[in-house]
Amino acid sequence: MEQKTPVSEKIWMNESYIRKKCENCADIIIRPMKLGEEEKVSCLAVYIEVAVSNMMLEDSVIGKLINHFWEVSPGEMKEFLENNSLGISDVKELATMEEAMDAMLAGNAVFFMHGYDRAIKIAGKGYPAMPVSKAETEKVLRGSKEGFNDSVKINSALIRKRIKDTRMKVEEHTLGVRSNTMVQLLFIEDLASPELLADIRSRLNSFEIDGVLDSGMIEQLTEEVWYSPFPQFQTTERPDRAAMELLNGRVVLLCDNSPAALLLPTTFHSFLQTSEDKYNRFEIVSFLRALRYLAVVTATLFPGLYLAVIRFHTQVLPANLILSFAQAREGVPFSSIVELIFLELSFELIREAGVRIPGALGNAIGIVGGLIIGDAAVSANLVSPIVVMIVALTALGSLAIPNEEFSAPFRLLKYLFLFLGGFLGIYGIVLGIYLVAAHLAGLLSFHIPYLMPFVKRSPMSGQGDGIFRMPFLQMVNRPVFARDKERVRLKRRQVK
Amino acid sequence: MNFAENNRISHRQLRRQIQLALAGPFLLCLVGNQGIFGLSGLAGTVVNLLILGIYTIFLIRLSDSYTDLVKTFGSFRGRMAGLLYVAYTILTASYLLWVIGKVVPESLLLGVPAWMVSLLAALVTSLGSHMGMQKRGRMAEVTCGIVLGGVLLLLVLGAFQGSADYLKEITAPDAFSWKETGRQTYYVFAGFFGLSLLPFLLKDVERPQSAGRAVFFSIALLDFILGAALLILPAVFGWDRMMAETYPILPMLAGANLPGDVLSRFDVIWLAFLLYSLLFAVGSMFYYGNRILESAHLFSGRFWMWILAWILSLEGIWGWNMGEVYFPALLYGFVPLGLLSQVAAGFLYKRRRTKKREKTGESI
Repeated sequence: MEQKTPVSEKIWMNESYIRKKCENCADIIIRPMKLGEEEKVSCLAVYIEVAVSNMMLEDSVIGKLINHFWEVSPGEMKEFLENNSLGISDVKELATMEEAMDAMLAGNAVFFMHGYDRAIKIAGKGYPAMPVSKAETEKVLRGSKEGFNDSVKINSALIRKRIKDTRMKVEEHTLGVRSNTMVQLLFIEDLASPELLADIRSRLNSFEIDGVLDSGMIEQLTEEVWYSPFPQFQTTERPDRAAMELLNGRVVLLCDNSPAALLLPTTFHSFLQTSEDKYNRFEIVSFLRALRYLAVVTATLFPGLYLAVIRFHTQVLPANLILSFAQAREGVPFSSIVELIFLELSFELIREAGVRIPGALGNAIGIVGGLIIGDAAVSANLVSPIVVMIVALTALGSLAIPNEEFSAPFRLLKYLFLFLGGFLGIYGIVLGIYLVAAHLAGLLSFHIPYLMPFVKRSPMSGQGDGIFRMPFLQMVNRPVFARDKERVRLKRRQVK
Repeated sequence: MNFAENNRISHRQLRRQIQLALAGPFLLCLVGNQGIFGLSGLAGTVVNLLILGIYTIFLIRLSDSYTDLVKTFGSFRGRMAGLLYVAYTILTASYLLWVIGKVVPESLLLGVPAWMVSLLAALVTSLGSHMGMQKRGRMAEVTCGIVLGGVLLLLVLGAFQGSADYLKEITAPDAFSWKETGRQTYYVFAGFFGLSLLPFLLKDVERPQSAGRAVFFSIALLDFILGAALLILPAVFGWDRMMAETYPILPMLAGANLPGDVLSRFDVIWLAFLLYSLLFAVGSMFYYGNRILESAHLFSGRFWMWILAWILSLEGIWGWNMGEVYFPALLYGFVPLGLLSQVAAGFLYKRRRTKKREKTGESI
């Protein structure tokens, strides 16, 4: 085990340790000072310049502390620190220099006093972060508009704002031997399964890496099946969604510097739900969910089915329709497969360019690119109008999937089905469906089958929250993630 | 965490596996002039409901003895019994691959060689065939409803094409005889012989002793589908045309129409549902073949089983084809031998248990 250096009573020893460690770190301020009424006492404050407020400002914690120390005797100073007499909320005594350095690097000020063998961590304003803003990727018409930001502390506070109950626990872990990234595990003590928590903790401890810069890295380091294109962790940028999932017995993992919270365990169906699904009436929610499933099918199978039909099974379509298809393709020199791949790839390029190009220009690229390229390609006889329609409908399908990460595998699978349908017709499509079904049936997320709630329903689990949602008053049970003893979520009171 | 940790499938998953694996092959291979037809066929399915009900109870009672064949039968006999069942699974998979290789190029992909079609099917169905029982259970649970729903819907659509005059032909004198009924009852029983694999899988089923109801429900549903097909087919084609078709179920929906004129033909979709069921059946054969090898303490079949099944399914290299060989092998080989081995297993297991009780002094 690594040897720890205790904080010394001699302040010059602490100072030399820090100066050695922080050599050439211009952003770290090491500020020696003499405080105390008559007999001046050597003190030292160490902090990252931008992360801690101006020390002399009255409204900052460290400012208040230092200003107070001008007027008291050295003995009182020590007593003051020991008893935390200033009543500062986030003050912690640190016994080792390593802890002191970690606290300083986490964005706090660390205060040393000669003759006192502890360092004092005083919370500063923290690293610069974006303010709480709108969730960009999970827009809703009804419900809170708040989104997570980059600071893990703010993110957990946004969830705490919604669940004001001490049974919601926040467990801190540090990942990345160089990045020392703070990761928080949020769960409701009596709802989350202990096995699940143990499994998550063991997976978080199962690797050592230099740096963790986003929750996406944790996801890839801890997922069960590395080769699956399907995401095994769900992400959300919405605190209300995260809070809702905590109440369902799931666990939320927050990573510093990442606005995306991970929701564990994850199922296929949970990706097709939105937070609005609980706020709106069951009829429209059920309709929208069915539409999203249809979107999945369209995004994956539509181009493949089109090719299968026009290349192998023309008898399926009415004669008029197949004739108009043939007429539309007149003059196009390429085979239908090449035509479709060309346009699909063009659309992917437009989409990628639209994402990378900033702001309004990105939107313009999407619309202009789509219109101009589509129209020009048809005019130049590179593609037929029907193919433009097929690609547009496929794109709409993939955009209607509420979770971007979840729509990605279908965008990839679309090409597999495109080739299977193009070369093997409906037989190829059936083979592809068999493969995908077999793969999905084998996927587990933290011991929960990926295809829940469509498989092996226990009588206690949250029924009525599948493709079709039941009226809210009848959704009495929590989903299968919660502990068996705590399955009931809704009880009706007898009102006289 | 109460569903994935025990590696057992539910009764619903068992039921759906049976239904999904048998519906397609039954409709495609069992109905028609080479299998069951007419009133004799209908009588056969009804009689089998009773026979298979009893057989299921027998199989469930046998399940303990099939957990480890070597323990029950002894080293040599156990392995031989294992090999008998493995041969059944490989030959059945091979026959189904042969059917796929025959039907797909004729009805869906003109010009694509049969060997390529069956190779792709063998390859796809073999992927992950060694993986857990739960995976197969979940796969069946999710897709069976869609496939069977589609099959039933299309059967209804097919029924609308039928005519009462044609249906009357089913009562023609040559459409029923007691001898034919006996033969076709045995045919249906042989078709359901896949159920003989039940003892191998029951240890992975929750509450195995009460699984009989789930199995019987599957048999009843499959019987109903078979019966419906036996009535609809002559009503759609007429007796003579039906008897002239090798796979009469395939063109059944060629003339069906749906309001709105969205699609002019449904036979491709119909075939897609049947193909999925066939693929699931082939995959099941590979999976259970592996399980039996495990139970008989033999080598793993993960890599070679699908290749062997595919090679056997190829036409024109053996001087015979699976279509000619499979049914005689099933009717005169696997079914009687399998039944014998099951009866023997029952006796041996009972004897072993009695001896064990005598040794421990336990009262019976």
